[in-house]
Amino acid sequence: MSEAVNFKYIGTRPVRPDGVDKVTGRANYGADANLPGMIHGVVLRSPHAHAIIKKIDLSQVRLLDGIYAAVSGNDFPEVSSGSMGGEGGGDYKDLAANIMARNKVLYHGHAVAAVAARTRELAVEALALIQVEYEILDPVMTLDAAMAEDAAILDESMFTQGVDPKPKYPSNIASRIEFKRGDIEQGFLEADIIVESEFRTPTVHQGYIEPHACLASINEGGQATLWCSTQGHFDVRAASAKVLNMDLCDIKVIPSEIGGGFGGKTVVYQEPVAILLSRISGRPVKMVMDRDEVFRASGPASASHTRVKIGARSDGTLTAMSCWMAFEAGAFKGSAIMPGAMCIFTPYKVANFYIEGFDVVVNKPKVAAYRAPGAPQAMYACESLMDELARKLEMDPLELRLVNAVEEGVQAAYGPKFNAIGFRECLEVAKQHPNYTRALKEGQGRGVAAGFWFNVGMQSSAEVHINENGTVMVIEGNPDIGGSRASMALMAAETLGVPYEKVRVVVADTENAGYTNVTGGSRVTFATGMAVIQAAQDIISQAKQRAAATWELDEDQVDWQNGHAIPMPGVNADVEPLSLARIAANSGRTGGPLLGRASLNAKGAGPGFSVNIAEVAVDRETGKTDVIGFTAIQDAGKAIHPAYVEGQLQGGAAQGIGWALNEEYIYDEKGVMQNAGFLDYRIPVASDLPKIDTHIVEVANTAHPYGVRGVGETPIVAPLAAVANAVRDAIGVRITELPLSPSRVLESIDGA
Amino acid sequence: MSKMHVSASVNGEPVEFLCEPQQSLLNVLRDELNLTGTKEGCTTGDCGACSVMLDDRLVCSCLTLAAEVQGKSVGTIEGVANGDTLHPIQQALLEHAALQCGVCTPGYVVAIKALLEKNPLPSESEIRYWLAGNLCRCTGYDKIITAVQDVAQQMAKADKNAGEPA
Amino acid sequence: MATVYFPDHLLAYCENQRQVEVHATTYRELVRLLDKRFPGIGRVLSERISVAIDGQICHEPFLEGIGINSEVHFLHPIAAG
Ligand code: FES
Ligand code: FES
Repeated sequence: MSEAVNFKYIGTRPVRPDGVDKVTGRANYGADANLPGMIHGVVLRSPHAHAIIKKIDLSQVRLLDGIYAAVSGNDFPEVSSGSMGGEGGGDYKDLAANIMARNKVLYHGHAVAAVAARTRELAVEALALIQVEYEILDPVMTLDAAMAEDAAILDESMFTQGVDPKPKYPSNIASRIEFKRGDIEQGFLEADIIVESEFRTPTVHQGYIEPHACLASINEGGQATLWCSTQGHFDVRAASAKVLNMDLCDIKVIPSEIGGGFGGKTVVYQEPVAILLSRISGRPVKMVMDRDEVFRASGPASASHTRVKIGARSDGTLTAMSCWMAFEAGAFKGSAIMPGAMCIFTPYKVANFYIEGFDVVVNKPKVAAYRAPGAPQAMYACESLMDELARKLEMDPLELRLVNAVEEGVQAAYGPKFNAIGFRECLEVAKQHPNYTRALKEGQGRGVAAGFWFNVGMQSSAEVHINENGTVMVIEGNPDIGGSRASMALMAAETLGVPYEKVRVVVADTENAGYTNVTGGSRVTFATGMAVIQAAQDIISQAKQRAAATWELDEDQVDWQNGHAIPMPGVNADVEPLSLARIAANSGRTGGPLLGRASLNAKGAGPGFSVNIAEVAVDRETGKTDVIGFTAIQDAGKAIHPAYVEGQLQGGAAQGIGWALNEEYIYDEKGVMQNAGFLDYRIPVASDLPKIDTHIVEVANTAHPYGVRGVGETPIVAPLAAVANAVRDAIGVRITELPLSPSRVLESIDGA
Repeated sequence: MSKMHVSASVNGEPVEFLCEPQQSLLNVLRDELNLTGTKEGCTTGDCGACSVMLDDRLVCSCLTLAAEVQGKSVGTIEGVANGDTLHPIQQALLEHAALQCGVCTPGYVVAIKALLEKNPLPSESEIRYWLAGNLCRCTGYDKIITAVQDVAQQMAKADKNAGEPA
Repeated sequence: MATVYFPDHLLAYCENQRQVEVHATTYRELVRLLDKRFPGIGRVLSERISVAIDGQICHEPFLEGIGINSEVHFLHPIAAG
């Protein structure tokens, strides 16, 4: 934007509208709702990682006193194959089979049956009475094993997509993708220097603190009401309807407050089960996963294996980049290999690249989106190798990136030309940052890395209602996962010219909000924000009409400023400005209540770039790495509520640091996860982390009225490589597999 | 199995309830007494979302047996604000935007209050170690720590003023 | 004339042409014209595809306007966390 914009509310840091309820324990999350007559559902989970279900016998459990319903896969309707569209792009048939196994169990923890009983304890006890006969198969637990010629096959009907000619035999490789530009061989010929390496990352979990929870109740007419913790209640409605073969309009989904999701709560697990149990029992059914189930049966992110090769001239100019990457999808196809492949080289201008990617099924839970799905794994590989390249060239790593950084007008690796983006600005800020230049001590190291995420737009709806005293209600359909009510209120206040305190924001259920895509893709402040702004503009135009009618002027003779209708400059009218409150108070006489609305399919979500600086201290005796400084720099387009933008940067950094240093699923040879609890799957705690410094760059996204680009996902992308590069700097050896656990670091130090 | 009868005080009010011998305090608070402000993140003592005060001790209510609270006083998040006034800790967390999803927040409020009662002016690392049992996946802890430092200063100042003769 | 760029995975549908010029004012019209030139591509460009028109990515394109000098790129829809 050329002219500086002076905002009155945007860019301030008020207390969020839902804050008081959240600090007093009043806010109701997924597990906090109860209904009279409610019973409790629990799931029987597979004790095997890979097996054929020969028989399930529920007859004994059904006889037990206090058991109201018992179901297995046989009690669900057949669901045919079909794309889920929307966010994840998965297949409904797979979704149904993940919710309740049909003929085969595909991971340890896969749901095979469910019961509902008077108490949760009774339901858990009753699970022992369910008899399941399995034929145990070899578990396929790694990419190498799954891609091997003689691998046990998870799905005999799966033939690798994207290879020509069509394969003759089934495979665990669901699909192969390829992106290329220029002449890769020529590109490497032009290089003065070529670096090459391969990298691996483990299976990790989103680690939201609130387990999945829901409460379902269905009436005699077959109309269901579902209360649940989700990132997108419209998607829960669609998925439940599909899996249960119900009419969409017979399911009402009320989103509870949500205790974290990070992509993991865009997926449906127990909601359709609860509806079915409720239908059979005639009672409301509550289902809450325990932490063990959350780890074993919900959302991890893909383990990955990536080989990268980069060629550059001696001045740092990149001439060629190529990679081979494979992502674990878990039990069903559909990892984030596509976005991973689309973003791996995106930060850089390079005329020649070649990217080959594989989506591979293994006997682990089906992966779910995790914040910028696919990008952290992909860019960990690219950014680690860029660091090596800088070392070989004896060039400052930020300078190397500046030489090659994409900017406005450059064609992105994934296709289109960039509009205004803030990557260069982030790099410049990093270069000047005191945390980049301060002296380090012996045993300490510093690393930098860049991050990128597309961000998405998609569909959103919003209504703005003006109360009779001029206060404002904003009604929208995105569960507030990190302060988005505050952003919506700020944008409404700014647009209407009314104080922030006079605006309330309601996250309404599927019957009271217009259709809205999930809280995900960093889209809420951008897309739903845009809907809120348009709905507020709708109010303004109505308010101007009412004022014109009141003043007996033409509509185009009225202007709107600072929350008041005023005559346009030059219009000769001896009238007092009319506030929104006065217009609202008088609305009965001028045409009825003021009701604004907007719905849209938002396009032009601005790409998000970041640069992170990690500083670590490595204890050479124990191999333990401490992050002693971390700086997250990111382009937010425009920070509507800067404190919540900083919060996204800091939270993403912490998750990325965990991914780099500690977190991983550990399996035994039978495919049983060994660390399904927070004690052993160790996410960073307060004493593990330093202060996380942030710097918000603002290069306005011209597609949004206030310049917003999404910020929620990019923050997790750069930390993996930033930390890995810092450890490399500290110990003098490159470790190419995450996590950089003490034992692995120690091994590398000793081996060096 | 017969249920046990327990009398205790919860947030200053006398309370009686029946519980199973193995039932956790968290379970009774949430399911029997409808005090759902205390959250469940793990039931294994690893996340701190269920933090409550038992007499003057900070405990994980998921690891505390309900029967253990016989004759004791339990303090939960619902008892922290005073009438219609937020506790300064709650206010500080809000002003510093120290919560995103907020599911960890009740546990933090209780744990921070316990900290400042023991140690009114903790150092940054004392705060970080005291709160190491409270997991937050959203914030990266930064703003929570800043909020605690800030509110500790404020409360110390207020105490000092209150202590000075008028 | 708008310039339309085809990524690798669509080359099989457009006689391996990397870029073509089309005179269209909306995405719908563009797809119609392309389908005339390359029969069968219309279906591919109407299902689960995102389009970037002058750098602005749009999911489920249909009525989006296309300018005289617009650049049009097709890409896979992006999932999100
Ligand atoms: S629920 Fe008690 S510590 Fe997690
Ligand atoms: S704010 Fe979400 S876990 Fe702390």
